[in-house]
Amino acid sequence: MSGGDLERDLERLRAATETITPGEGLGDAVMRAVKGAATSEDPLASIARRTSGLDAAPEITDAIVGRIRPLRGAVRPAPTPSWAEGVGRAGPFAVGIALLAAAASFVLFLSSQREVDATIVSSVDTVEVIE
Amino acid sequence: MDADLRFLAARVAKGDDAAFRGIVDRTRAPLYRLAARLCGDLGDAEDALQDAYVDAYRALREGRWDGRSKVETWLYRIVTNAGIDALRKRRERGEKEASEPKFDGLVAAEARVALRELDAMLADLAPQDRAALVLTSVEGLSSKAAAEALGCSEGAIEQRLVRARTALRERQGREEARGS
Repeated sequence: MSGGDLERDLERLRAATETITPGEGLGDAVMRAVKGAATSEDPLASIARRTSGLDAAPEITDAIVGRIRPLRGAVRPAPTPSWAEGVGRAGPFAVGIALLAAAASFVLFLSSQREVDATIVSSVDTVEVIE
Repeated sequence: MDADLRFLAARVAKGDDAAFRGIVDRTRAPLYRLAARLCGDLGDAEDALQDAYVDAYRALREGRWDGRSKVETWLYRIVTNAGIDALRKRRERGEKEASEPKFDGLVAAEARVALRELDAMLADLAPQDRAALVLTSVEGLSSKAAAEALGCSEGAIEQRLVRARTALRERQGREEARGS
């Protein structure tokens, strides 16, 4: 490439890039970066802050729904649980609760029996004293 | 939010595919952010996010969602796994065939620069160590929540964090030695 060609190319590139202007958010972004550097923020915390507003374009939802469409016939739907499975699942808990209830009833029976006995004994004592 | 998502998830499980769009619309933003932070690359993040939603749909239709855990937490875990898979695939294929993002029109330039910084900073870490660091230090999760997302114990998370931070310090030391 001759010196003239090079000069012409550079002139063309200069003209083509002359209208480049930053977007409106650049000043704010620079100030946030300066603030971050000045406060010697932890790099990972700085990255977390700067990526906190990340969101995909809403069209990604259509892409995802489009990917599940062909699967509709292919997936094996969950089998409806039968009553026997329910009995099998809940059975051990039911037996446990029944055992606990039986034990509690027995304890209650014993304690009331003891109270009745004590009442009878005290009434007999009273009768004997009277006699 | 959670009640809505549970309702939608239950409808998808019963065969109402239209309800899945509602789940995607409600959870897309935080999960896209998570995928982008895990992958450090918007193209890979989009692929990982789409794979994760497809997995979630299959799981719902096949009755593999137990209905007890929160839908958000369950999806968070699926996206984390998809992000780790994407990092592994990128290591296998090399950097040459990076996929181009298609849905990044709303992503600010500042966030793109930050993601590039993050990717460069964590490039040498093993995918699981990198995920542990991103979940705790960038996503702000507790060790317990990060362990739940990665499907491991809190002790394993602590080990991964120690490994990751040690590798980052060693790298920083090498770079400073090269610079001086």
